[in-house]
Amino acid sequence: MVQINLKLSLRKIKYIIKVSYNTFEKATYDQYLMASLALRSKDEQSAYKYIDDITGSGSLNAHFKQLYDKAHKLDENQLKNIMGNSMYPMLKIDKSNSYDYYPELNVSVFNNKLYEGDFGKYEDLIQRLYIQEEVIESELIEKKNTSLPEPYSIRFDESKILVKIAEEWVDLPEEIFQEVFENNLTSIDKIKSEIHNVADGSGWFALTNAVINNMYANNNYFYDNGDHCLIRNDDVRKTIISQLAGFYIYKEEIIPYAGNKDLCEKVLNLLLENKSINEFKTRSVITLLTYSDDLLAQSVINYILARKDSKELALMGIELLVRGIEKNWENEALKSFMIHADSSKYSYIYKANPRLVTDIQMLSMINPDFLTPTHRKKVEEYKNNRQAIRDSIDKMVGEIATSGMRERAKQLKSTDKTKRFHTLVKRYDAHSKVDYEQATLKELEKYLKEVTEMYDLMKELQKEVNKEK
Amino acid sequence: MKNFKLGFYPDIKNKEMLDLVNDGEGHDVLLSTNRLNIEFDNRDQRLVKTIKEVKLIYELEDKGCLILLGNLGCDFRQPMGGMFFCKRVYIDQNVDYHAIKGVEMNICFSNYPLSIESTQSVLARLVADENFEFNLSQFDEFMDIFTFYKKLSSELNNNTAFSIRSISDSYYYVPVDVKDIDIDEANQITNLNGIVTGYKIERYKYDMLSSENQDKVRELVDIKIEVGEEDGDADRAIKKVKKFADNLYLTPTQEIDENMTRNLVGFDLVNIQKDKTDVVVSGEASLRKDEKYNYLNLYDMGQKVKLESIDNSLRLIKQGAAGSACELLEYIIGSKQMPSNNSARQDGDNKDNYIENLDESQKKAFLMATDGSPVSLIKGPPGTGKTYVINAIVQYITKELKQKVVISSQTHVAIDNVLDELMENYDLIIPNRITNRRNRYSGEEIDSTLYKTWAKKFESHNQRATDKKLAKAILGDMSNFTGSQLFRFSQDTTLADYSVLGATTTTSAIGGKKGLELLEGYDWLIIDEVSKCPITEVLRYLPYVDKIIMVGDDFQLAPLLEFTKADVEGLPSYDEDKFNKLESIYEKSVFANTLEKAREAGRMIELNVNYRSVKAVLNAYNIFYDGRLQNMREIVKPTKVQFNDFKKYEDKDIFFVEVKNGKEAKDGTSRYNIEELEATADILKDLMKTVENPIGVTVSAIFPYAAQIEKFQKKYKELINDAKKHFKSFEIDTVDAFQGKETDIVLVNTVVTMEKGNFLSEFRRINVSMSRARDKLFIFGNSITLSKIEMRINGGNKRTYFREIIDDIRRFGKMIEYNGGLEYGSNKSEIKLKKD
Repeated sequence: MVQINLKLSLRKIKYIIKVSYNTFEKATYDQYLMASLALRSKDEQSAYKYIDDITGSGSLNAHFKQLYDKAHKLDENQLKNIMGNSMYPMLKIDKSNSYDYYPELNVSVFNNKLYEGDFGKYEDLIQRLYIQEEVIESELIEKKNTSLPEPYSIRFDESKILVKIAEEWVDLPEEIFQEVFENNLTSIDKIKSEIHNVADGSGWFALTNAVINNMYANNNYFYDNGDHCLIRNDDVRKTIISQLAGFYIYKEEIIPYAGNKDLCEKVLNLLLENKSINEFKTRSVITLLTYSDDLLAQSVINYILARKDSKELALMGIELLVRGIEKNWENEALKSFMIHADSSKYSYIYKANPRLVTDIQMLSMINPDFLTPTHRKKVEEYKNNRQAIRDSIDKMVGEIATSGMRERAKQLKSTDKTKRFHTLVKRYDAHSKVDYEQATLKELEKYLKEVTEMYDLMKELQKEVNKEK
Repeated sequence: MKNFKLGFYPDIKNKEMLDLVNDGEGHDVLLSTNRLNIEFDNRDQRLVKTIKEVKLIYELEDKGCLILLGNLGCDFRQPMGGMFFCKRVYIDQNVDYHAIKGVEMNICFSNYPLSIESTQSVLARLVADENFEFNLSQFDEFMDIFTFYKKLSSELNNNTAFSIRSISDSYYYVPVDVKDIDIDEANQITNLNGIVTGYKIERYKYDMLSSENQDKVRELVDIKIEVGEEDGDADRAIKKVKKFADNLYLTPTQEIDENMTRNLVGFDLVNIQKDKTDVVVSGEASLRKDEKYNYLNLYDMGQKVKLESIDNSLRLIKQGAAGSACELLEYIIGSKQMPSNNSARQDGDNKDNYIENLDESQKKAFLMATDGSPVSLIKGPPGTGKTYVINAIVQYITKELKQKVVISSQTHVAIDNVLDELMENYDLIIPNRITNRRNRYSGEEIDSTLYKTWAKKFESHNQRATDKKLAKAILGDMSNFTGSQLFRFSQDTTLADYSVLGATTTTSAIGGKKGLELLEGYDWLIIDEVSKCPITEVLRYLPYVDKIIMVGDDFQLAPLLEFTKADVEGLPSYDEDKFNKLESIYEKSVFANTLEKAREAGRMIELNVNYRSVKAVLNAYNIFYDGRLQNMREIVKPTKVQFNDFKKYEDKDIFFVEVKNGKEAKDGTSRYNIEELEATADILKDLMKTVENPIGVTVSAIFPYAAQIEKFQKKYKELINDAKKHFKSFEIDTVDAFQGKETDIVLVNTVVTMEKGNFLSEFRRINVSMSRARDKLFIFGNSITLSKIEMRINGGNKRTYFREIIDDIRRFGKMIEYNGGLEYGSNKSEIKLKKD
């Protein structure tokens, strides 16, 4: 048994069942009043006169006359009944029921239930509509008559074709099927995958040109056991095509990447080969890399980072580097690693290619054991220099602090000198916020220059203070 | 056919539109201009060379008009002759060609133009034609300010909506002033200050109420809204909801637009309560079962639809495409004199039935309003029966002229008052009441309202029948009626069957195309309390009618802009100059502006018989009307509130309570006076002790400042609740909230003890406060300060009206000295009656 979803142009006629019947409903005040008038007044003229008397030319005049005209048509018994029970006879025209009739299958659907034949022609139609009152007339009004393609499920069962209507399976004679199933499959020649001859179970659809075009919309596909597999961001979509009773059907299977090493590697290799891995979402590439061999991952990272920068891929590359894949990294990839790595990883990148790291401050952060002799010497010099500058700064700042000049200078007349001194003291004295540890050599040199200026100013001001004494 | 060359500026867009008219054929065209701008011939200054900014308006086949804007004049290049130099061409789909004011002509563009001489004579004829120019010089500025107003409005209110946590089942709510009911105290409903506003009652209790009281019962739902959990969030939300109480909607989505008006349900706020951190709003709403309401939307939508609708009207008017509205506008705010027909009675005009119960001034007003002239103003000072006259006019228009009337006002109450009157008698007029709120006259309710009004009085209507035997038989039948307590009116009626439409000037229910269909075929517009309407709201319905009757009183409260400077100062579009202009345009009532024009043209009648207040009370506010109001109250209703202590309050009707040592204090921009509150409370207590048959007496306390009310409610919660139960009703509110209401006894606080910079110099507030009283009026204050306050009426001389009022009270009323204010909360208060 095969179940297929497809579009059929089955003719469907929507009928409204119009039923008119007599019933009663609670009379409204004005209906009752006019019924009383119809019962008690001699003739229409006196009735109208009464209405004029009690409503003048107000809005109720016309309204009452209209109600009177209706009541006037009732016979005396009916009017007496209204007076007795306040129930007003009325002709109810009910158009609330409708059904669909399928002429080719000779079945109807009413209230979501399937009926053989034309439901509207059932002899016991009125009972089936649960109308208790005496029906005056009933009529079928054709509301819509269409044969537009609509989705259906059909079933091939041994030699029979069945179509699902209102949750039930109805015989669909083959000649009708051929007539209502419109198949303009023109792209079938494009199909390079295997066309099976066996099909079973549900989940099948009729093959269309759109499906085929979609299969071959780009080069990112491969064949698995002859079936077409389209590479997508999160999975592979396998399309199994089969031929049945002279037409083509297909079914899809979705194979996710997660956990499937063989698939991931196959896809990566194919994407590399097609040079289309770049167009893939980074998130999807990372999924593929996660389940692939490290060396393959390395070549993918090398390939992509050579073309565009990506933090996620760089971090993944650094992880591989730390895991021991030290050789065969492209320079572009390593440069990207340098940008995104934290300082603890500099040593690994240096090891992969010492020539890439030239910045002295970066070099100073790398484990000295890994450094080439030249770099090691450079770093030592750099560190010594820094220390010498730090020592000089500390010495001068210490001297200024113990000199008490900060307070004493305030007694002096304000001059450019004193102003400058105070500015510098604020910046560099013991509570200063300058971070010498993190400062580069260049910054330290600038600090040194200003601290020296401050130191010289202190000496000068000291002389002035002494003079004043 | 007039031939012109067609020229156009090189950068003109939409040249293909020009091809439509430049087809060598003659077309019927309307010519008009917003302002005459003429260039004369250099050689002979008597001849017109060019008229600038002329509109050539072509009717389009489908809808709307094609409009060419440019200069029409003489061109002396070859071939010499008439030329239209087009600067702009556009299509306006919203205008109706036949409603445009302009001069008709058949124009053809060709290379053989009209000669220079003929062109000049065409131009001269155009200039002279009174249909050519549509000029309201104020209008451009007005549009500019209105655009500014629109911007501020939308910036101020963008997406103000609260998520709804839950909506309760509906319940019956009976306001506290319904008395003949067995109340369970546990079901009382209080406001945020603990003042009882009403009670929840069960269905069986509702059934036991009289039909008059049943009408007062409302079916409410409680809606819990999300307001945030921070400190102060709830209070901010409450403030906002209160401020926009007139524009609350329940909506399925947070953002709403004009196309969704059908999905909006108006929410008529009755009460707000705080339940721990939640805010619960209670009110009336016609909820549909199939709709889910997720948001309480404040203001935004109502305001938007209202503004769109006003904007639409203004655009039509500006384009000169609003038919008679252009003329109406020129009469109302422009410089044209109002035309006036002869109001004298004509033979066979059938007006007798409608005026037989009117007094002389009411008759005059009726005859003027129905003489067929386009504009009429009726000035209705307090208690002079405005509603009564409006009713007579509407009855006449609908029944004799068989024409249709829109009745509008700013408030629902004012419209419903007029409609109540229309629905009063056996020959009632059933209105089409347009509102998003639940209303007794709206489509859903009218069947039940007819039962409650007309059917309840059937016995008396039945007596009008000339065939007494028939009437008797029918009456007998009717006693057996056990059917539904409804009429079958609404389902048998279509829009065209109505001849009266009631809608507020600010309603959001009339918007877009649907709104226009509703107003189709209406000839008359009556605006009640027009003195409270800003001009924008008056203009709203103008394009749809031919005649307008404005009823109001420029001596009562004027319009108030719904936001203050402080509210909008920080907004991106704010501009100080524009704001000041907006405030002045908005707060200047159309009525006050138009009054003088109408008076000159004989289109204004002042009603001058007061039926509300007893003589002494009327005298107090008659001073503002230079004593023109005649006192008729004692004749139509001689009985007054009675007291068990005759000497105290019964022999006089107006009292001045001199609050010794009262001190005015500030609370933000508002003010209060504790001593005056104490005096008010003590007088109220005394009234509760001395008024006879209190259950039939209505009392109100009117305060000029919100801070004074707030303090009164907080301090005298118990007393207020007792007074509400003791009297038929006891209301406390600001002057603004009281316009249109009246009670037997009124206590008016004045608060001020400093002369300068207070509200009271605005005589309208004093007039409204005092004129609410029917039988007894108590004014609290400091007579020395009040006597010094100078007021000016419409540019007249400054006068110290309070001095005159107090002097009058000394002579004809009673001065009460209150001296208990020095020690707050002590029991030392004493009431000394000076003139006993």
